[in-house]
Amino acid sequence: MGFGDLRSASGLKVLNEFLSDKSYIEGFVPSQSDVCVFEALSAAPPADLCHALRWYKHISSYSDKTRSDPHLLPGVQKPLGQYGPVGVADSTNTTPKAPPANEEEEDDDDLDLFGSDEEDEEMTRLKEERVAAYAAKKSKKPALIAKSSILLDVKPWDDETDMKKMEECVRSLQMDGLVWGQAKLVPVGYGIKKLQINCVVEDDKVGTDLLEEHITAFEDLVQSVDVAAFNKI
Amino acid sequence: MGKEKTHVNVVIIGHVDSGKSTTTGHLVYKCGGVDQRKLEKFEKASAQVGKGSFKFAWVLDKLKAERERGISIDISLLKFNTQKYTMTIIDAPGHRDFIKNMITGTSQADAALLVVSAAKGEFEAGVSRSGQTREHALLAYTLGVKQIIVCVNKMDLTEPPYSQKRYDEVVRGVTGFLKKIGYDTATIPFVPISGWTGENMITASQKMPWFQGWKVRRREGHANGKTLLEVLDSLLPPVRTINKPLRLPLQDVYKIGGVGTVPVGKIETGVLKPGMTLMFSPAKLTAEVKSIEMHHQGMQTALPGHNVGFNIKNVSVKNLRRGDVAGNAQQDPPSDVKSFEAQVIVLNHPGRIKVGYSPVLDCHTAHVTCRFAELKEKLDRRTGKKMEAHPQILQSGDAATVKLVPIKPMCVESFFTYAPLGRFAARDLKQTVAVGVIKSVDKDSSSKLKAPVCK
Repeated sequence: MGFGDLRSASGLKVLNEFLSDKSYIEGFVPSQSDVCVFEALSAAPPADLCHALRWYKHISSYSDKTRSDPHLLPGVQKPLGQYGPVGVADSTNTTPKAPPANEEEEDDDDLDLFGSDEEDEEMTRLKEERVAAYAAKKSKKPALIAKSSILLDVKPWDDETDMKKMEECVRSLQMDGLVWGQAKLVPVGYGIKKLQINCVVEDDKVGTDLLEEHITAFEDLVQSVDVAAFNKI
Repeated sequence: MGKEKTHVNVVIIGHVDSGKSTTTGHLVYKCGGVDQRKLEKFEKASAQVGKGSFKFAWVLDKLKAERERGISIDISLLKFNTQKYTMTIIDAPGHRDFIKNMITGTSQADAALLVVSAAKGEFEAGVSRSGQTREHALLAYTLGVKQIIVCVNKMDLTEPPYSQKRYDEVVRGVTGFLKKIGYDTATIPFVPISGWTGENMITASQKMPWFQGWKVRRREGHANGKTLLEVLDSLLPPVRTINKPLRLPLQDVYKIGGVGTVPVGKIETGVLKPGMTLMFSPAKLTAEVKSIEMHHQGMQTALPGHNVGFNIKNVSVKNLRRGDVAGNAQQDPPSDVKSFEAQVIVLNHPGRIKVGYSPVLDCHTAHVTCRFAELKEKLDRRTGKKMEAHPQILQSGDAATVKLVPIKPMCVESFFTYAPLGRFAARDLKQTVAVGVIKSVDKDSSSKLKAPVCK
């Protein structure tokens, strides 16, 4: 994460975009994270970057003393690279350390489920170093395509549905990232059988909703589709 | 027939690089989850290509390749036996649809196995904000998976190998965030393992003499041991819900020539017997059970977990559908709800949720659009304490108590009374935008009066 070079126009633009739907750098109250980014700016953002300027004015309304007091503005200051949108590195030259350069495998999910943890600086620094080392190591590994194995139950309307035709129809569905596997008929009761069919999907390309939608589109044959098993490969 | 072992579902969670799959593979491989003939074939092949010393890894790789081709159905179900249980392992994929499936799917997890890597940097990355570890653990807790086991994996890759200092550091970190989520850490066993070399998996390792063993303190009795397999054996079996009133959400409804109407579904709580008068909600009708079948065999008593079909009298197929819930008409019959109060966690919503937001809720087999009628209070995810009354908006990461109103009749229950009917996933834009558990329901009292009795 980061804003690029906050002393350049491009960095300010990233900041502006970041603040277009957020009030603060982190959370819903002003905190030390705002102070940290605020201090990295050399001057007020230009007027055309209205979100950044709005935020800058707001933070500058606090006195220096208020800003430096963690009781008034809570939180712990972290390196600039810890803030901002995922996928942009920090390159402001005020930061003492180089931020983790490559975090692309982590950008699938920038969900913050816990808010900021209160840790002392030493711990934070240590952790960051390790994560950075990990990221560097990771980036050398070839990217694995995440795949899942899904077992689907496809149910007919009655005991007279042509199950063979049903299987043909299901298998006729072709999508990028989808491979059909083995199938078998499983007895349910009263002469009804369901089709249990295995498939392997690439996580980013094929979803269960999509499969369900396409399979239930054979509405003369298929009553419903359920997922019987769903595993990582 | 011998007495069947109790069935336990365990979901394996952890960051991408935690070594989940290797650990899972090891368990399945060593505990008889792989077809013996196939195994021998692979082992022989591995000896031939001169991979003797890496046999295990090689076989795992082959099995993975086989799974990738989807050839075998059995192999896609990861099953093995411990002394007490038959276990089915769910190796949680990172797939965006998995969460919904975990909530509404047919196999509910009875316990979670959290795998964290002790290798340098990997633990830190796994529990960082962007790691999956926290999200998975939080979801498991929210959805009522209260039993959790922690494996500190890759002990062979610490610096120095099998370092107690590193293990302690990782345990401290994990304990911290599990406590924040709400887990009682005294009941959580921690085991240092290596899924790769097999340390402490099946047999106790000689390489970590400092490890005194894991301990669990809980009301139902204490347990201790050294290996992961022992921990799995010490899990509390899923609570039998036989004594509760019947709840059976319908998956499908068939019309069978010469038999009549046959609804099919999984019994979540209670028992189903021929002769019983059932109430269906929200269909608002009653009918008598004539017979029950499972896998084409007749049954006199069907229990929770059984996926059954049953034949009912005098009800047309048209009057029932997927999403209806069957219950005993004489014992707390199910009824549709006017509204319900739920605790939700917003996951991936791109914008803001305001009053009036109406995503589709997936709850048991039902699929109904529900309106956020009231945002009651915003909660602290860690403590569940109230942070703000009547918030204007909710965003990703927020937890809140909300009132939801289904736009068409729907039968749900509070999580406390009928857990499987009390958890849901809210879907919008092909994503799971929120998950929740139902705190209380406002039943539609008129539904019972209107019910026509068919005999």
